[in-house]
Amino acid sequence: MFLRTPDSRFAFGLGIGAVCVSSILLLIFLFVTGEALPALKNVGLRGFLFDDAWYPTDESFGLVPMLVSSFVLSVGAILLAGPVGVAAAVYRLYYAPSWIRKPYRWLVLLLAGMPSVVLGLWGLVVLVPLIARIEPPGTSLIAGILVVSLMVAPTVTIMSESALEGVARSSWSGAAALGLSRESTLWNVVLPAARGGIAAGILLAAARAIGETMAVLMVTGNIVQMPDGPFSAVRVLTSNIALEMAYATGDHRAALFVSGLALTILVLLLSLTAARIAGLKNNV
Amino acid sequence: MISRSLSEDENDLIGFELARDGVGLILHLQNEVPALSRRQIVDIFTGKVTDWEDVGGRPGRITVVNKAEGRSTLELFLAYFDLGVRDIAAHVVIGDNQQGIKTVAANPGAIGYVSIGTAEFESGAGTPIRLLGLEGVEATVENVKDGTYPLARPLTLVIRPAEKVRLRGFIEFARSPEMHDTILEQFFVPSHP
Repeated sequence: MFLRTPDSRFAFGLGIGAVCVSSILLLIFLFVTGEALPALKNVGLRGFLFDDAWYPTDESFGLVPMLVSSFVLSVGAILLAGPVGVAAAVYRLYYAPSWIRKPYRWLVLLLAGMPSVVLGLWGLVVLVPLIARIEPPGTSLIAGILVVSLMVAPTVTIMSESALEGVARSSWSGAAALGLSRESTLWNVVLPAARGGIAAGILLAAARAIGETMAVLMVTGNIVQMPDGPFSAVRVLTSNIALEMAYATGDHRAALFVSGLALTILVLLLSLTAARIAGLKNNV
Repeated sequence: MISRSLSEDENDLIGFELARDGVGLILHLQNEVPALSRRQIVDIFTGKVTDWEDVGGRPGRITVVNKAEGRSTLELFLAYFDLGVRDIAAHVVIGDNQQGIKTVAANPGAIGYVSIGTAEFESGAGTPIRLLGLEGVEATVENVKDGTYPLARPLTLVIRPAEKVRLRGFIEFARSPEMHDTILEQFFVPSHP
């Protein structure tokens, strides 16, 4: 009997759980593809890639500007949130006075748990009017990048902290024995040793950034166009679905599932690339 | 339930009007433009006029706030001003009425359009927006009620003719004064006294 020991029964249970989770993911993917199929058939991939604009009620289905906007927005957010998030983790663990450490951790956790609509609302009533002083109307790509980077920075911090704490104490003692300063121990020993975990944190943050809907919807203006600067209004794929799904019918509805499919594929490509980069580095 | 009347080719169904909803143009409270003509509204929404100075306001760039595609407010607005979806040169696209009101409240140069009842409630609650009249008629729930406000739509309950007898009780209830509180809660105007 293969389920004789408690351990093998436990392993069996875990296996069932893993199969359930991955098959749900697969079913979602199949469902989205199935719902998108009518539009792919009627409009064709060419339509989605080469139509000049997005007017789904007028037979025009160009998705590319939204794909590009999604990509630019999340890359921008990661460029801001990545360094800041890692720096925050390093500061709290190695430089902060001890009375700051606990409240600081609570602050980061609070920010990580902040509902995105709240951040979006703050963006709309505080951030957007500030940006509007530079370049009206203020609802823009840069507003989206700022709100999203604020949202994902805590993820980077929390993941980096656990990666840094996982670095063996012996690395610190060894570096100290070699006479290295705190600064050069960090740069040359600890950060390289923790890079896998830090990369995973940034990847998680990127996935959250690209999937973020409500906050982005509230601050980016949602005009379907190629972003041509930080102040241009953009619509990302997630906002497109949220904005139009409620009243969409027929090909319009199916076309929104195509945006969902495009989003899924974009996230998949990003994860694969990031996993490959992390894998290469770890093998060095 | 549909937020328009039945069209002529839908004569295989029967509609019962329950309530009316007006669509009103909203501006930021600080915007002092007294009124806009039909021509001026069309020019603003198609991007021919881009500064408030050109339509009798204080100088400042106009931000056109449009509704997302598929929304019936957009359809009604386009039909009333005889425009197509591609004609609108929007700066911001919004989803529901609340988002439209918040967007306009946060931007002194913005112009948008939302359900009159919701806008009236919000401006009464201190949100810095104001409703703009249309063709000389003030955009108020009162004027939607007596039918003088031009940009309004009926909210219609739709049934199949075969179900008429069976559903009579329900339809009578839906059109009775007992439903008024529910309709008013959604900021609509009951069609029946």
